[in-house]
Amino acid sequence: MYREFKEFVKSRHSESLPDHRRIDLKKAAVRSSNRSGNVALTLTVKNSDYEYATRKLIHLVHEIYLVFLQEGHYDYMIEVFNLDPDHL
Amino acid sequence: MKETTDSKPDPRTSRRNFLMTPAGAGAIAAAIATPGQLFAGTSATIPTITIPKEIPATLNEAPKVGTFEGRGMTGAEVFAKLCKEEDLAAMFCCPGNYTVINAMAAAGVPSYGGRSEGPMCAAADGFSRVTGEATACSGTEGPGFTHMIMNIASAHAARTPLLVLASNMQIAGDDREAFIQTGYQQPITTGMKKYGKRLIAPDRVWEYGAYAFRNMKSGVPGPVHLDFPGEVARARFTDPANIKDFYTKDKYRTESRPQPSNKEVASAVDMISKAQRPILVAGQGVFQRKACEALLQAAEKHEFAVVTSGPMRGHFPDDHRLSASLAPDALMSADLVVFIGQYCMPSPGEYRFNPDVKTIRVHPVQEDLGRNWPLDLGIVSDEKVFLESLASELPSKKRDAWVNELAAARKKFEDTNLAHYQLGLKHSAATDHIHPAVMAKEVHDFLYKGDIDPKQTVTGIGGWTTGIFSGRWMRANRPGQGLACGYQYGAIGPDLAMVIGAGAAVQRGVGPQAPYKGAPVLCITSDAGIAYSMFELDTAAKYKIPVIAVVYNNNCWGMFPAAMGSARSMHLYLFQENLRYDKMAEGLGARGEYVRTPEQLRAALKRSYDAASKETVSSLINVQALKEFTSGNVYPPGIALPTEPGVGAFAH
Repeated sequence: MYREFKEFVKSRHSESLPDHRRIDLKKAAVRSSNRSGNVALTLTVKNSDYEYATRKLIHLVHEIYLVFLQEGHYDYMIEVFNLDPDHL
Repeated sequence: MKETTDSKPDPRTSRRNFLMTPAGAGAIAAAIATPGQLFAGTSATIPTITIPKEIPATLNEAPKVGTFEGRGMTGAEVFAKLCKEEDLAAMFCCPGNYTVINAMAAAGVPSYGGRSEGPMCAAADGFSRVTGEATACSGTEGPGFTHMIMNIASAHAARTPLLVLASNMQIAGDDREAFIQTGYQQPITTGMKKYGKRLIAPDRVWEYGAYAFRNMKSGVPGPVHLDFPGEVARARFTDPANIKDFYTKDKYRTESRPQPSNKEVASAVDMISKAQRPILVAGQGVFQRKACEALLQAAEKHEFAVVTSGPMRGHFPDDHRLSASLAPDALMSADLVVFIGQYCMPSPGEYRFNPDVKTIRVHPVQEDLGRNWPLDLGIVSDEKVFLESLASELPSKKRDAWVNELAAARKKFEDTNLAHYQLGLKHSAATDHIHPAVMAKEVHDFLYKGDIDPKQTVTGIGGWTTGIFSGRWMRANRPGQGLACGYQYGAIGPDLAMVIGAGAAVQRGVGPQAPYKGAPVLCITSDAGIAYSMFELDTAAKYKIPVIAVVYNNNCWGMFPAAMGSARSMHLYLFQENLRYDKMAEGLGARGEYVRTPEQLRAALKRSYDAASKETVSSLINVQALKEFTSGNVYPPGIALPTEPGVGAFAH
């Protein structure tokens, strides 16, 4: 699952995404790390455009919940987030 | 199944004779064309399932509306007269509240009697969801009324204009527990109705009927609950002057609708024009207020995306190039969202829009604007009036980049579905059981890729694993073609009854169902869900409403993963394995099919459709599966929650 997660984070910088969806590598970069199962995101701001970078980070976290986890990791959401239909 | 058609005097004309005669005995039957002898008795000593001739005979009787002459009108007849004048589209009930349901049926309100009150309430809801019309359900005082509760709540969550009727003993017996079935009804529907009243003054029966329709047909609709003590239902009126506020409907309610100001329309047009990627969420109000055509005109003129929401589907066609209902990946790109007729508002994070999206919301009542979702512009307006203004005021515009992004997202969604299907095929072949992705794709191909008009068949889906997989594949290409049976309230099991109600609307060609009058309808539900309304297959047979019920049978409640790791719990979630719902259906007068391979399912769908369309005979297809298909760890892809808004959505 972490491999998929890493791939998802990386894909958010892809040239194949439209501009409004992409994290522009000239302005910011986000990478993931995994230490004994504790996953973290690191944001690097490249041209002092902190507003852009922060906004993109917020969007990324939003997409992790609403796209990455929702689309393919139902079991994980039950185990980690205690998901059930009564608590969606 | 057989239908009695003899013209000789029926020996069962008296109640005594009727009760003394075994059902079906002595009937000279002419078969409604049925395949083979599926419903015939298995031996000479077991009678065939038969529709008694009283059913078609009484359905064909002329309406008889009460009059003030002679003995006059009962309170029930006065109320029925109002319902008829309001064009109440249908009433679904079980016997009980006799004075009222008899008066309604006699007055000419299309009426259906079924096997239990809960599913009949769901059927009334289903009829309304695919037509936008007000409908009624009815049950007897205590038990019949309380049996309806789950589906009243479901109708409330769906903002259905549903008239809930029930008898309620006599005022004279209040607080005495006189005889049986006493209870206070109105407190029980608190929180699940728009308006309710126990009628206690016989001379105000018309006035409160007016309250009911004023509430159902104004603003945001919702259930209205009226309970009738005997003193009201059986009151006699020989002079209309004795009935309070005995006005025609143009005096007790109005068709006037809230209109946006020119300034508000100009502000909305300005925001939409400046947006790069606008999307309009077309809620149920667009359907219920008959604004689909205006929406289509505005969208095509200005090329904004449209995604539908609500308990019914199809108010913007899924197969339109501007539809985002099959393009979940594009939702996050929208920079402006316009909610119109979204009666059940999500909170940010429940809809897949980006955190910076600007918002316009158009709603018919002011007090809901700003609830749950922050506004950049809120407009009080009727949906149709506003969309007509947009169609008129928006400039023509081409948004090639946005349209291309929608197309790419749609392709990605369809490719993902196909990938799931391929995985499902492998799992099906390996286990000799049908994976839910395979079931959904086969039904999809049958309804939309073969000889059937893809705009024709009304479908309703429910269940957990079943609904989630099927939701990705069912389409609504015209208004009123789809039902999200579990919408918002998440009730398990009303699915089949709801689709039977929708089937009654299609059978009569009501509203948007007119071009498809008489076509079969199809329900996909689960083994857990079917238990709640399976007996209504008898009702479908009795009224010759052709339904195909596809039952995903995975031997369990879909939420069985919740028991994993919990001691002594799993047995709570499991059924006997390999139960034969197809056999049960045969016992109720429907056809039964049992399938374990995609090829068998394909053939069963064809046979069932033929029986439904040519012979008005319903079928239940038992799709045998494994509960383990729910798990993505064992059988990928497993469950994926539907994107909201869009196809498969059921929460908002």
